[in-house]
Amino acid sequence: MDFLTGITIFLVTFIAVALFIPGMFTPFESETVDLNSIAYRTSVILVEDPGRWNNTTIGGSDWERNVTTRANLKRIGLAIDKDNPNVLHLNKIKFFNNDSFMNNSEVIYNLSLYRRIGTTNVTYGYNISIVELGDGTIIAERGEIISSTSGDVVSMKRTVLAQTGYYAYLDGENLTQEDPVANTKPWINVTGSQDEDVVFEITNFNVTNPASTKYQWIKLNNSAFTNYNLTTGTEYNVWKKTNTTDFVLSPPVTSPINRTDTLKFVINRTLFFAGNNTLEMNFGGIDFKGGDPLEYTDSLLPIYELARLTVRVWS
Amino acid sequence: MISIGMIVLSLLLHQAMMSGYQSSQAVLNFPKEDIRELVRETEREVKTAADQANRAGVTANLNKTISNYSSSIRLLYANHGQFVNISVRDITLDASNNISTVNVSITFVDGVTTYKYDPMVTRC
Amino acid sequence: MKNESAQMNTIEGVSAAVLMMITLFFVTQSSIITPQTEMVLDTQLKQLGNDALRVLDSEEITNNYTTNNTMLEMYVANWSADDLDSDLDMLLTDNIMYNLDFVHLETDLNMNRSRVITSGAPVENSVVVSRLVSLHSDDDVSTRWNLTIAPTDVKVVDVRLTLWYI
Repeated sequence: MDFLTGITIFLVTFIAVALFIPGMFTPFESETVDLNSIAYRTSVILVEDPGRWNNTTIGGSDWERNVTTRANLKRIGLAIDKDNPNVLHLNKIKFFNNDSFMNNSEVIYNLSLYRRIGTTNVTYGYNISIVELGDGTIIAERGEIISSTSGDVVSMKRTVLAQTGYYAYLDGENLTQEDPVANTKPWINVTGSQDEDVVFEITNFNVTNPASTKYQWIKLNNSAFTNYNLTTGTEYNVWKKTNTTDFVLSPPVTSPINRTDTLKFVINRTLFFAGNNTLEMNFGGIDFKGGDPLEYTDSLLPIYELARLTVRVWS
Repeated sequence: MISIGMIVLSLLLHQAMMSGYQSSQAVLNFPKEDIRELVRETEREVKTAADQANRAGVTANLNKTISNYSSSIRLLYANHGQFVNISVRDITLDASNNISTVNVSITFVDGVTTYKYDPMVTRC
Repeated sequence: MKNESAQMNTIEGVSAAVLMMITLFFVTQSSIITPQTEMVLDTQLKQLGNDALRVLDSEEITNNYTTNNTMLEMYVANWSADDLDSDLDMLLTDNIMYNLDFVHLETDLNMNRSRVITSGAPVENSVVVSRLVSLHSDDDVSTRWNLTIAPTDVKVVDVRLTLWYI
């Protein structure tokens, strides 16, 4: 009787213990995969980190200017610098978006979108896109399309200011004309071919009578064109902003022009080539002083657009 | 003997549970935005205050402004459950008696995370 | 009666073993707490709110070249609730509703919270994000603030955005 009781208790405990022990070790064996953390971490690297490149002696966060040795590229963050998170740099976005600069698997390894099981690396599927708020133009997109065979898909959305180009802000009082052509024809020089559309804004015109002032045409002189009259629509566009309205697309002949109005010119980048590209504009009713042309590339400011960066990850 | 062993084990168990939980909470709730905002806003404030002090010609205005700013910030952050202290360490003037560099010390404690930025050098 | 000390011995030994097993079990199980799945919706909402306020407060899209104030600072100084509402509406996704408060200190050091934008009462799982804005004497401060700022004074306002999913 005692023996029975004793042996029963012993066997029950023994079996319970024997079943318990494997259960205790399961947390140590497999990795709990949390895709959400991965998406969040990737979004933080892209949006808040300016990135890093370094070799054995020097390094910095301007990796977009040190891309020749690929092994030195440690993190491909897109922010302009560490004090300005959520503001993305134009060239970093361009390199990130470029398939031939970094192919899909290189992006995966740089952003650690994989995990190691045993001796193999199992990669996740991903899709990272930067889309402008408002009109929905896609600024950048990398990764695969979500397929019907993927498992859980998690996404992380961030709001950013993505740089889409540059513009110059010119003062109408400082605009010069080519002596002694005519004092109503100011000129501006753009050096070199351009990767982005040439955008400049002119304000503070030296206007005496707004009703009789107008802008009429713009001509281009460079290695490919001589006195070439640009046409609105495809080659360039001019926009006007006044005290009461925001920028509105303006017809080729714009009148009247007040001193406080701003004219914005957006010129197609394919018209510019290496060397000097001189733009000559014709205004009516405004006097410009003589002198060397202002240089467009001297005072470029970045253009930022509101955009949504979405990181999607699936296993 | 077994009871002593039991006590020891239960103490260990408690410690392990608590520290695991605490550190996971610290990682998940890291006040990244609060700290970043604090540093950036302080830097902007110091630059504005230096500008104002230069225009008025009185360097002491900077200390006064920053101490005003510090007491407001302390109360506002206390509302979130965080302790913040900002103080001016020292001011360097340039040749025309304008403020050129200000060293500021920033402290942030929220119970789980302590952050100190001392000195933060702001060039005006 | 048989010698019962044997049963006692067995039971002692067994219970000791079971106790140790249970302790070990708890120790190993509980140090792997990863309460992440609930925090996910939270993180996305918080991050969207923080991003929206940060973008509004960024120096890169300021409209005003003379005072170097950010858009958020101008909105707070002018108490432009409608402009703030439309900007936030654009920056946050359509399935998010929000309330906006300005929290500031009165002269008698009392905390005053003024509701600026309201879309109803927040539900469970709502988050609050905040951003600081400082007003100075040379800012164009609206009369709704009902104060004058001395040259060495700073008025710090905590812009608090409460967000929830519909």
